[in-house]
This record gives sequence, structure tokens and C-alpha cells, in this order.
Amino acid sequence: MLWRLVFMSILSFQPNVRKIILKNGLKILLYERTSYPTVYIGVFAYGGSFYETEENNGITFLTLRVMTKATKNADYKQISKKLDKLGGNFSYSSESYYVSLHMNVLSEDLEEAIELLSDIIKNPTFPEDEIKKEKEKQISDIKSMIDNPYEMMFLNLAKAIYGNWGYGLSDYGKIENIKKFTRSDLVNWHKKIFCAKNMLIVIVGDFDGKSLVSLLKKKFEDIPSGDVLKPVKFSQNSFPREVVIERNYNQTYLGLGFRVMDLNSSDYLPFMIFSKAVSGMGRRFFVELRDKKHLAYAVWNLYRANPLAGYFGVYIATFPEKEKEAVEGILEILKNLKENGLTQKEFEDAKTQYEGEIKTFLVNNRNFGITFALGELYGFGWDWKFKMIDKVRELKLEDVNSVLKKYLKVDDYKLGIVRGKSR
Amino acid sequence: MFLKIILMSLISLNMGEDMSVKQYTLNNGLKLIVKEVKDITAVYIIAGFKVGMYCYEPRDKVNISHYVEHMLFKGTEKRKVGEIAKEIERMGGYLNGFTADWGTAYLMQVPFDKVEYALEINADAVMHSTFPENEVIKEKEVILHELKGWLDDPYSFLFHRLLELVFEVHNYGIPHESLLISHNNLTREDLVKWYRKYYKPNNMVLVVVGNVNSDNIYRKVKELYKDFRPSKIDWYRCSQEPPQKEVRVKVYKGDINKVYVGIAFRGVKEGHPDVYGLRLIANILGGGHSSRLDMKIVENKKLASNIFAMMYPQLDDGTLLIGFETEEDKVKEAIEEVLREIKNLKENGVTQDELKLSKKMFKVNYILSNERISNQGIKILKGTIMFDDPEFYDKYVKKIEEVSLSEIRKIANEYLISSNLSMVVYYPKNAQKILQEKDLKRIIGEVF
Repeated sequence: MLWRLVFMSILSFQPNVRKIILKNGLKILLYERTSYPTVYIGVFAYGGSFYETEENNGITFLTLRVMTKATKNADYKQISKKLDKLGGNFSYSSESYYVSLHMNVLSEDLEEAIELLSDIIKNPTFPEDEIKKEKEKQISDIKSMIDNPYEMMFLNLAKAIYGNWGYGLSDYGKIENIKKFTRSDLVNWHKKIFCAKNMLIVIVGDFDGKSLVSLLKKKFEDIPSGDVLKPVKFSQNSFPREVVIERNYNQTYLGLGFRVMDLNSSDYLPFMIFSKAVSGMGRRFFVELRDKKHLAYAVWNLYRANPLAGYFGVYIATFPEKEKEAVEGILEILKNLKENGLTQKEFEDAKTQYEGEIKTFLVNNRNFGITFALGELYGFGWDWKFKMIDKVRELKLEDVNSVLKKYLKVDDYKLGIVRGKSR
Repeated sequence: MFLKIILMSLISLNMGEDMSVKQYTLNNGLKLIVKEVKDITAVYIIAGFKVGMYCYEPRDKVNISHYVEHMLFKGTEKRKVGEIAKEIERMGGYLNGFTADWGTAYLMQVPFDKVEYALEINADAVMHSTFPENEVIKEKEVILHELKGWLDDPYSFLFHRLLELVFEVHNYGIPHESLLISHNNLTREDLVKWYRKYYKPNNMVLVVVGNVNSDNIYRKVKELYKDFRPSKIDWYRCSQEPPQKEVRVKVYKGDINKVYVGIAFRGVKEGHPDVYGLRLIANILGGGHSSRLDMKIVENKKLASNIFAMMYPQLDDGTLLIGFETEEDKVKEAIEEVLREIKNLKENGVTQDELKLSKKMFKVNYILSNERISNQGIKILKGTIMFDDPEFYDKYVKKIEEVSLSEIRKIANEYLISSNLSMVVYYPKNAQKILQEKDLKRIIGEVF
């Protein structure tokens, strides 16, 4: 079946996404939606912990912080004021595989927003005083992260699975790294990330396409082409089975998981459907561990994947004295899944869920924009989610269950723990 | 007896854009509000009851609304535990519940072609929950995990400890330890009694936002709730907080790496005429990239990070909250500078530019938030339950627009005073230079 027809059957309309490639190689995706007088602008680029080593971990996020503080045309006070005049809806993040800057503005402010974004991307000046200030803030953020039990559990699990590579590195980096970065480190890193071939811009909302295209050409066509950033290669080392920190908390925050396939693997699709089949308040882990064994308030699955790596895990926040019971409970479910697979009903429900989620997720400009951008960044095209519908429909239960036998390493699992104190 | 449900009123509301909003009241009192948003593929359904945590609960029953909320998706006469969630998730939707002080709500976001099915599930949970004894016992433990987890996150710790300090009488300030005791003492009988008393159609508002046809939704809801019988409801309301007379300070230590500081000024409840001015003051102080506290304390003096200020108006009362993170050796100076900035705003007011900018931010954020059908649904529900006005939050922008410079000054002088101030400082357990409560009171007295 043509995916476009599927698209129509799912959404009842076909988004008319325009893909433009500027002379310098910069990709731009435009999608007009006129329901609200608002526009989402996202700037994406390859960067983050998969492109960093243990020695320069944190440089991407520090670069983002400093570049948004001073340009050739504005200092931090002026930039802050401009952002607030646009409503203040500006954020940026470093997400392991890519970095992104997001703006949500009124349609009437779109031109001003693009002016400001292009200035931030093209003309950051990296003044020493701003670098010093932002280094202090990033160190402060690292300390805050250490105070957050959920974030630390998440990082501990990723470290147990990937060591000091990719997911195993924090987006904020290490304090000693942050202290040693120089201005030229940041300037060079910025050049690598924010070059046209490494970037993607997506704009979704109520705008006039024709005038927007000429504005985008004017503002972004002079960015140097550069090249696509290359990720750091994974070198297999022996990692500890568990990464644990102990705290005087009321609860223990525990993640149990293992490495799985990346997005390019043919096993990805069946595993993604498996993940859906066991995620949610009505599914195995939640029902068994919370509803039946009342071991926790918070139970959910962790599944992250990009074209380089992937991991699956289960998170639970339980009382410290129930840690063993929680681990055994998770393993029991995983063993059962490995041996017996999903039931036909679980499998069919997950397939239906996949299509339904597209309908419930694509409800605002930002969600459309991020979905399109990730498809492009992953190399599958902006319409990747819709192209997968056909493949999901063709999947068979045996496809999923054979993948579970391969990847559910119940005897070789990893643990990330923030251990509370028993009372 | 079969209730004959008739359309009592049909009011068309103008809520901006070209989207139609219709309000229906069934003759059992259930209010249904439907907003059609045509170019999306999802529908947000939220059912709310006018009974919530703290305000509506006796002191020894605090958390009962929350406990009932947890039980509502735990099985009905038709559906066993876990089945409600399973059915919604199978559609690609999600469901959740929340308990606020103004009400208890049950929400679902589902694909637009599944709306009728989702309404059926919602109605089943609302009208036919069975509160199985074993599930009640198990869920008590689950909620205990949730409540105890509140104190593990430093910001959550700060927030709860600050409210304990501000509210000595009102249930908003119930000590966490007392909350755990109250929760532990709740029985199935308590829950069922609460459910039977408050979960009535004349105490319920159902909001549907998304790609639907209003009249079809009305017909479906009318059918689903035809046997839901109303009854007279007498709400319990907890004791109100008397005016604060003097500054209150508390110092805590915990297993953390940084120092977290929270400051609260007793403010006003939602809907009070001064709430709009207080929201603008909070935004000018610490609400945007260019806010005063950000510029002065974070950027210029480098005394703190992640600073914020926000107005937190609730059903019965409200607080203007300021929070930041700092290092042990900067605590004193950071607190002094933050207080000086507040004092400066109080004495010299704000500029026309600041006021204009803050109003614009409010307006933009209001419009942007409407992009999400969930935000629209919650605003309609909250406005209807609290003020019997689905448009309450749509009118907010206009009220904000009307605040003048002189009002800002008047409001700042009325509320940003030391006798209205409470402060919590949360230190790492191994901190060496801890400011004691008397030191903090002295600093506040000297600066403010």
C-alpha cells in the first residue's frame, strides 16, 4: 500500500511538507498549519554525547549555553530582552545524538524570531566573561543533576550498559572537563556543529510560505557548508554490572536493562512494537509490579534508540527494603517474555496503539516539527513515522517473539541504582 | 428510575479562533462543555468533580480525594483492575488522573475516531467504580511511595516545607509526617463514603476538546449518564489561614550537594482582584530571560542559578514563590541581594517597558498554550469548577492587560512585606557554614 494512502487513512489529511535544500546544503522543512496564529521553529544539528569523548564530554552543551548569550549584534541583556519580547518561549538542549534550539512564537513575530535565531547561530562571539559565567552555571547544573534521584538512576543505568560512550555520558559533562574548556575549544566546536550540512531547520505553523522561503535564504544561505559531524566510535570495554550510589532517600530508584539494537537494525521495528506492548498503565510491568505487588508508585519502561545505539530497561522507585523483590519481579516478567513471548492480544494491541499514538501525538506545531526533524536526522526522511505504518501492519507475532529471545538478556542484565536508606 | 435527561441550556461561547464551544447542562446537573478543534486527529476528555485535596478535607482525612482518584481506574463492575488503562492504551491514547485543591480530574487523550468508546470507559469509571478491598489496601502502599518520594527531590522538598511554614492552620500546610498518618488511617469505608457523596452528576463537569461534533458528543453523554442520579451536596471546607503576623524561617539539612532557597510571600487566592498584578510582579522579578532577578543575581553578581519567581494562586489562598540554587559560601549574599531586589521593586515600582513586556509575555504564552488541546481542556474545567465560568481563563489576558503601574506599586507594597514572608533554606548535610534561623531573621530584618 502506498504510504500516502495510509497517511490519509490515519490522519484524514496529508501534511504538505516542503523540503528545501539551500545552496550551502542546509535542509529546511516547512509545514503550514493555520489553526492558531502561532509558529514553531526548530533548529537541529548532529551533536551531543555521541560525538564527545570522556575528555571533552559537556562541550556541546557549554557551546550552546555560551552561543545564546552574545552575538556580534547583541549582548546577553539585549538577547534576553528580545527573547522575552517574543514571549520567552525559547529553549535549547543537547540530546545525546543531536542538539536542538526551539522557539514558539506568534505568527506576527516570526520574522523577528528568525532574525534572532540566525544571529545566535551565525554570529556568536563567545566572550570570555560569558564563558566563565556559563561554566559556573553548567557546574551548578551538574550538581543539581546529582541531587535528582531519577536523573542519576538514568545515567547510572546508561553507564552500566555503555560505559563512557554515548548514552553513558551526561549531556552536562564532567565538572573537571567544564573547568578546562577554552574559548577556542568552544569556537571550534560551534563551527563543527552549526555548519549547513550538519544542520536542519523545521518550521511548522501559520505563516506565508513564499515570503518565509526568501527570508530563510537571506538569513541562512551564507552559513558555511562544512560537513556532517562524525560520531565517536564505540569501543567495547568491560563495564561493571551495576552502577550504584547511596543516598539518604526515602526510596530506591532502580533501572534494570541491557543493550539492544540501533534504529538501523531490522530488529528495531519488532522490538519497538514489543516495547509498546509492555509500556503503560495497563501493561505487564505496571500491572505486575505496581497493581499486583504494590512495589512502587512509579514504574515504567525505558527505551532509547538512535542510528548508533539503543537500550531497553525498566525503571522502578521502591522502598529500599524492597529492592531485591523489585529486581526479582522485573526479571520474572522478562524471563517469561523471553520464554513465552507476547500474547497475540498484547501484540495486536501494540500494533493498534502505534497508529493511534500518531493521531494523539501530532496535535500541535512542536510535535509535528520534532517528528519531521527526527526522521530527517535519523536518515529515514521526515515521513518516517508514516512509512513505518505499513511495515508495522505486516509484522507477525513470531517476528517480535524471536527478537525477544535474542535481546532480553535476563542473565546478563545491568543495573543503575540510587539506593535509599532503609527505615 | 430512569432519569429523563433533557437539554437545560445551550450556550454558545466565544473563546477566540474559529472554534465553536458549546455548553450543555443535563437535567441531572452534569455540565458538558465541548470545544471543536477540527484540524487535529485527537480528542482530550477530562471529567472533573468539585472536591479536591486540602480545602475540602477534614484534617484527619487529608489525602482522601487523592486516594479516591487512585482508585477510580482500579476496576468497575464491568472492567477488572488494569483493564481501563489497557483499553485506552490499545487505542494509542493515554489516561491519567490528578487531584488539585479545587477538584479531582480524570483525563484521556485518544484518537478522534475513538472518542465515543473513550467516553464510555470514562463514564464506567466515574459511575461504577467498585473499590475492591484488596486493591484499596495495595493502593495505600503505592500512594505511600508517591508521598514519601516527594521529599527526595530537593525542589519538591523545598516547596512542601515552604507551604508547611506559610500555612499553620489551613490544610495546605499540613506537615508531611501528619499527611502520612492521615493517609495511613484512611479506610475503604472512608473512600466509598467520599465517592458516594461527591461523585454526583450535579458535582461533575465533563469537557471534550478536539476533532468532534458537539451535538454527537452531547447525545452520547446524555445516553451514558442517563442513570446517574444527583443528590444534594454539602461540602466540607477546612479552616482558613489567618493573616501572617511575622516573618517565618526554617532551616533543613539533607543528602544534597547544593543549597536550595525558597521564599514565599503570602498572596491571594485565584480570582482575587490582586492576583493579576501579583502575577505580573512575579514575572518581572523572575519570570523571563530578562527578569530582574535573573539579570542581577544570576548574570551580574553570579550568586545563584536557576532562579525563578511565580505567583501560585490556589482555591483558598495563594503565595508568590521565589526559588534559587546557590553554594554554601554565597547563601547570605544571595538572600540579601534577592531581598534588596524585591525591596527595590516595592519602593520604586516597575517601568512602563517592564510592564508592557510582561503583559506581552503573558498574552503570547496564553495563545501558545492553547495549541495543546489538553491545556484548553484543563482551563475550561478549572474555570467551570472554581468559578462556574468556562471562559474564566480566557478573560485572564484582558484582566492582565488592565493592570496599571500604580496598581503594581500598590499591590507590591501590600504583599511584599516582611510580616508576609516565609523562607526555607535547605543545606547539604555536611555543610559547615549554616545560617541559623535567628541569623536569617536578622538578615531579613536588616535588608527588608
